[in-house]
This record gives sequence, structure tokens and C-alpha cells, in this order.
Amino acid sequence: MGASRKELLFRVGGVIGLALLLVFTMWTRQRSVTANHEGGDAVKEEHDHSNPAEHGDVKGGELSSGDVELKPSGKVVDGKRVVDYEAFKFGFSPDPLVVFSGETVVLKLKSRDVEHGIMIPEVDFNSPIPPSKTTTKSFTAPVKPGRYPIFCSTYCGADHGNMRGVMVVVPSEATEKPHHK
Amino acid sequence: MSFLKNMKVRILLLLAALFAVAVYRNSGEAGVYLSQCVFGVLTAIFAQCAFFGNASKTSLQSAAITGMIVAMLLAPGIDGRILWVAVAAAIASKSLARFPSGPHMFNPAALGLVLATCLFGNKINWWGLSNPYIAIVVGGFILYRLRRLSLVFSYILFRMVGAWILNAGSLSIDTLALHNLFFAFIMVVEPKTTPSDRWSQWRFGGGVGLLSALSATLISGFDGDLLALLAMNLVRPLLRRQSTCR
Repeated sequence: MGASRKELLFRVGGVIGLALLLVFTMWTRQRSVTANHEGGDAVKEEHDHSNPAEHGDVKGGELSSGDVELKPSGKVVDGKRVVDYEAFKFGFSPDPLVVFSGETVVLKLKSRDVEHGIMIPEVDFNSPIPPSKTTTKSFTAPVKPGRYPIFCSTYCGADHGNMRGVMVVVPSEATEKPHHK
Repeated sequence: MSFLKNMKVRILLLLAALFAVAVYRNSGEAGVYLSQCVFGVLTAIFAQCAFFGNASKTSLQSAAITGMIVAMLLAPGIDGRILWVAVAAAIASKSLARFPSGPHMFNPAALGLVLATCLFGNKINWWGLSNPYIAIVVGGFILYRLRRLSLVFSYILFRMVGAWILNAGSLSIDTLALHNLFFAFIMVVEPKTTPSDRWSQWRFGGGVGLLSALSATLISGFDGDLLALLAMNLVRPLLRRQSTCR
């Protein structure tokens, strides 16, 4: 086999491999989005029943039975959940951040020391948290209840790679009546 | 064990060690970390074949390093399309952005990540720095053998000097210690995009450190280290020329 033909084969194989990987990732993404919508439906159904964690409908985020008894963070102002959220070396406060599914969350972001960042990939939320300044940013909580990771997105020191928090999304019905089992 | 003498294998083992620590610390999400790294490496290997038309052992090792670095810097569980774009762009840059003299212009991983940040917002998390001691000890050993330690020292020193100058009003140890060890020991030192002689390395690393401190102060929400590295990659031929003139 000539060198040019071999090169062509590698190029074509590479392009096909890249295309397959892209299709695969789009397919898994689509499945994830569909599951999220199904999760939303499951939440609506839960309002007619009881604790969603008992039904095993909560996929992906793995909401534990204890999570639904968590008190939501911050307070509700004009229908939005407003939370004072602090970053520090190397964590977040409050941790976990507890919110209702599908509600608008307004974070008042502060840093105790150096510049940090906050990234919640599930809701495509990202913001720098400069020191000595309060930044206000908002996002809509996922419809699907579960536990979602929060990361620091600005390098803040040697243990930055391990700085993370958790956002717990609870269905509103279960949280308002935590003991109705 | 002769394969351990290969620098690329050593770097891959260093990355694997950092990956293992990250998985150990987040054992509940091991699958997420593993799938992200495997996806990054596979994308890099396919891209290497597509853009270069060969699959030599050396080129695949280089591609795997790039794929792994990108995967270990983007947040765990990130949308695979972002990872795909970042890795494919990183490998493509090795083929498309080259100096007339031959070598590629930019650190591939840095370019892919900056491009992905421009397109999708900042998703960089640096989780690959799961243990700074591994980065310092193993990375330091590899760089000693590669004769690239000057880059690390100059980056850290000038990053500190830059932070000291720019934050003179509110100086703290925290601010001074914001040099990124994963960046210093694994990214800045890529042999093909950095000078080989010591004097040029000091200027290159110093430039990255100063620009990094400057961009971290001026540009919030964007990774200043990566921008600084790309800027210095561009002027690298000038450093070498001036160094030769001396």
C-alpha cells in the first residue's frame, strides 16, 4: 500500500471516528435532556402522591431520602429564592445549596479571600466571585430533583481542583411537608 | 521497563496519577471522571489521524497527552460537545497554526481550551490538580530531565512579582500564591512550544508569569494563565532570535 493511500486511510478513519464521537455525545446529551423532562413530569406526578425519593423516579442526581428534609437556603423575595452564597479556600457556604425544582435562584456572591468562581454545569451557570465585592447572578434550578455539583471556576490555590460544593434540588411538595411518609 | 525512559510515557503516567487521586477523592463519580478522560483521549487520537494522516506511536502519545490535559481541566461531567470541540481544536492547531520554520505556534491544550471558552463560556475547573505534591515531585523530576525547570521557576517568580506590583494596596500571601501548579509543571513546559536554552526559558516563563498576573487582575472570569501562555507562544521566535544575538 502506498504511503499516500495509507495517509488517506488514516485521515478518513480519523474523520469518521471524530464524527462518531460527536454523534455519540449528542445522543447522550439528548437522552439526558429527555430524562430531565421526564424527571419534571415525575415531579408533577409526585404532587398527587408522596415522597419522590421513595418512588425511585429521581434519576441521575441521586437524591437521598434525607435530602428532601433539607431546609431550602436563603429566603423568597418576589417569588425568587435569594441566597447569600460565599466562596472561600476551598469550599462554598451554604453547602449544600438547597433550592426547589424549577424556581428562580438569585445568588449574592461573595468571596472571603481571593477571587473565586462558581460553575454549575447542569444549569450552564458560571460567574466570577471577586473578593471584597458582592456580585448578584441568577439562574433557574433544574426541574429534575437531585444533587448537582458546584465547582470553583477560577484558580484559587493549590487545592483548587478539589474545591466543590453541592446544589440539592428538592421537589417543592416534599420539602414543604417533610414528614408526610 | 524501558518504555519508562520515554518522556511522553512519563508525562502520561503523571497525568494518570493525578487522575487516580481525583477519582479516589470523588469515588462516587469515578465513572464521570473516567468517561471524560477516555472521551478526551479518543477524540484526540481520531483528530490526530484526521489532521496528520498518520498514527505513529509518538504522535498518538502526544495526542493522548493533549486529550487528557483538556479533559482534566474542563469541569467533570461537562457537555461532551464542549470537550470534543476543545480537543479537536487543540489537535487541529498543531496542523493549522505553524511557524514558517516548522513547529506549531501554540500550546495545543491551551488553545483548545481558550477557543472553547470563547464559544461556550468558561468551563475550566482544573480538577486535574488533584494533588499538588505529585505535580511538584513527579513533574519536577520529568522537567529536570527535559531541562525545562527554568520555565517553572521563572513563571512562579514573575507571577508573584506581578501580583505583588498589581496588588500592592492589598497584598496577602493568598494573592502571592496564586500561581497554578498544574499549569506550571504540565502546560507551560510543552517542549515544542517553549524555548530550549535557559536564558530564553527565563524570559518566556517570566513573560507568562507577568502576563498571567496582569490578565488575572484585568480580565475577570477568563483564565489568565492560558491567555498569557498563548501570547508568549506567539513571540517565542523573537525570544530565540534575541537570545542567539547575545
